[in-house]
Amino acid sequence: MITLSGITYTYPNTKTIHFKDLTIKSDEHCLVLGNSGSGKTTLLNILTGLLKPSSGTVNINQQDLYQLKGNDLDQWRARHLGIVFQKSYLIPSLTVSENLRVAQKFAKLKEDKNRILEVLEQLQISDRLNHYPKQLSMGQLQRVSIARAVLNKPKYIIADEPTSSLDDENAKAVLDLFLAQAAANQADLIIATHDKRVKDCFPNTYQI
Amino acid sequence: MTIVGISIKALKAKKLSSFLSVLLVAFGMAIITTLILVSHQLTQKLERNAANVDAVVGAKGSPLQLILSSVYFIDFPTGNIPLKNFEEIKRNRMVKTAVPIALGDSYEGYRIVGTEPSFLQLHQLQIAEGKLWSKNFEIVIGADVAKAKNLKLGALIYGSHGLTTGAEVHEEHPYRVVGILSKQHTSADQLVLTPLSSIWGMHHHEEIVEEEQDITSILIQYRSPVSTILFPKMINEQTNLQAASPAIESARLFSLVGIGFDVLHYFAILIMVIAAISVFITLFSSLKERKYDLAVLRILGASKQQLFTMMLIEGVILTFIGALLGLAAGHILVEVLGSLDGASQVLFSGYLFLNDEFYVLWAGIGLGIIAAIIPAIQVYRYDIAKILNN
Ligand SMILES: Nc1ncnc2c1ncn2[C@@H]1O[C@H](COP(=O)(O)OP(=O)(O)OP(=O)(O)O)[C@@H](O)[C@H]1O
Ligand SMILES: [Mg+2]
Repeated sequence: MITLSGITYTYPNTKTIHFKDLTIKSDEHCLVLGNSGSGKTTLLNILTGLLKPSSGTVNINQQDLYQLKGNDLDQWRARHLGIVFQKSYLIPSLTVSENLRVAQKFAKLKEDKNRILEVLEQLQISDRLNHYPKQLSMGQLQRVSIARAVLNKPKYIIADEPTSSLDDENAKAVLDLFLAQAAANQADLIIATHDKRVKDCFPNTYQI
Repeated sequence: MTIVGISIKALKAKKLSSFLSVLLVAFGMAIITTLILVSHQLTQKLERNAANVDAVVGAKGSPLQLILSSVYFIDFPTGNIPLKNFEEIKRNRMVKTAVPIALGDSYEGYRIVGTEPSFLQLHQLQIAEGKLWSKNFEIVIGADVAKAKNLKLGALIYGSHGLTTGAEVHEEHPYRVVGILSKQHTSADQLVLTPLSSIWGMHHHEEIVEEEQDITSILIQYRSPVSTILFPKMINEQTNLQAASPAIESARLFSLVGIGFDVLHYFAILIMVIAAISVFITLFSSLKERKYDLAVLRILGASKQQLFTMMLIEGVILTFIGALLGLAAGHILVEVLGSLDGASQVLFSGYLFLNDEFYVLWAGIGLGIIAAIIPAIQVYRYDIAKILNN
């Protein structure tokens, strides 16, 4: 369960962004909607512990996020959240399989090759195990980053604009991928988008 | 995947700049290693040769030349002195041992030294095989001569006039090898020793007349250290000979050579500084592309300290590999220098490992840390939210 209460954020020399209070129950996906510049990315950064809010609290599964400090916060994030970036951000000097092994290593989990194969198979890219990121297509890169996000079985999968640069058909495919992965790994999705096509798949929305 | 593993893969991904950094470090290290090895071996050789010689008496001229020719057997002699000077000096109260030396002939680049058995005692030379000479034209040869020319006991050799190869050969009088010295690691390894009278006999075919019994110089050992000042003063003022001190002359020689060493030393340090800057630039410029990757590592759970360490490791890997390559190159270079001139009196060996080299290795690692510290601090301070949103 996620609760936001009294969250505001002020970038230097801009007016404060106020976020409505929000509760997301377990086993519910949530879509964060808002126009460009409204603060979606800001909210996701606050949710993931990357950006300390100017005021208010974030509670995720009874953990007050900003009570955690430094390395504890890094560890907590690695264990509980799977984050998919708009760009793929795989490490270019490491192969697909090494990129996933790094995710297990830094979350202080045992290296588990079977688990890596399992997620890559679910996303149908297990044949690219030993390829470098630059040898993959954009779509394949996105699938590897989804694989990395779900690898450690996080409680939440958080993605910022995963479909905004895709055509209708691909947007639908990627969204299905997220929904399928969330189901397969018992995770809840939190997706920020201004993409109206995504809206229909989600009963729960949070409008900024 | 360990942190070191990630670092290595990151360095492999930018092969060219990593390679250049390693090369620069290796270059600087090779020079420093060579300097350490050469100066160590040179000093040691100089000291060993002169260990038991307090002074050398010879014809007037350059004292350095006298020492070089009579103690280290490299330069040409200063001239001849009559044997009767030797008899006088030997009787001097300040002198404990006096050893005559007659130079002039050589065998395939190795110097033939006419002397007395006291030469072996003075330099503490051991005969490994055979025995000391008992008559004219018998020789005891140094270990290197025996090895290089494959000479066994009983072998006959012909000396040639002069100290360089290719001169006129004295064909009428062969020398017979009766003894081979054990390896000394001094100039003695490259000498052919024979009684004084062989040298005289070689050049005067009739009966030897007393006036023609010349020698080149006299090696002196004092009875007491007090003579260090008195004896040369006496020789230089009261005779038409000169007395030179190996300690003083080799110190003078070394201060001359030392200037060259110093220049090379500063040059090597300069290269190392450039190498450090190159490592710094390699790491720092790669951060521009890598900051996203590093921010992602943080998202995956890496701590600031782990990324800090990772940058230091990258710097140290570059300088450590460079240092190892440089050490190896230095040893190879010295070995090549040593083997270039087989008959050279100052032989260097690359198969010598000194403690000083460990300091150099540590310095190389330190250099990597210094070069990487600024990039590492930068990575430590990353605001990952800001980086990932751009
Ligand atoms: N680093 C920053 N410094 C100052 N202002 C910022 C900074 N980052 C974002 N902002 C401002 O804060 C507001 C919210 O930005 P945010 O990136 O959260 O919007 P968004 O909803 O994600 O937009 P988009 O849909 O275009 O990605 C914007 O007006 C933006 O200009
Ligand atoms: Mg955004």
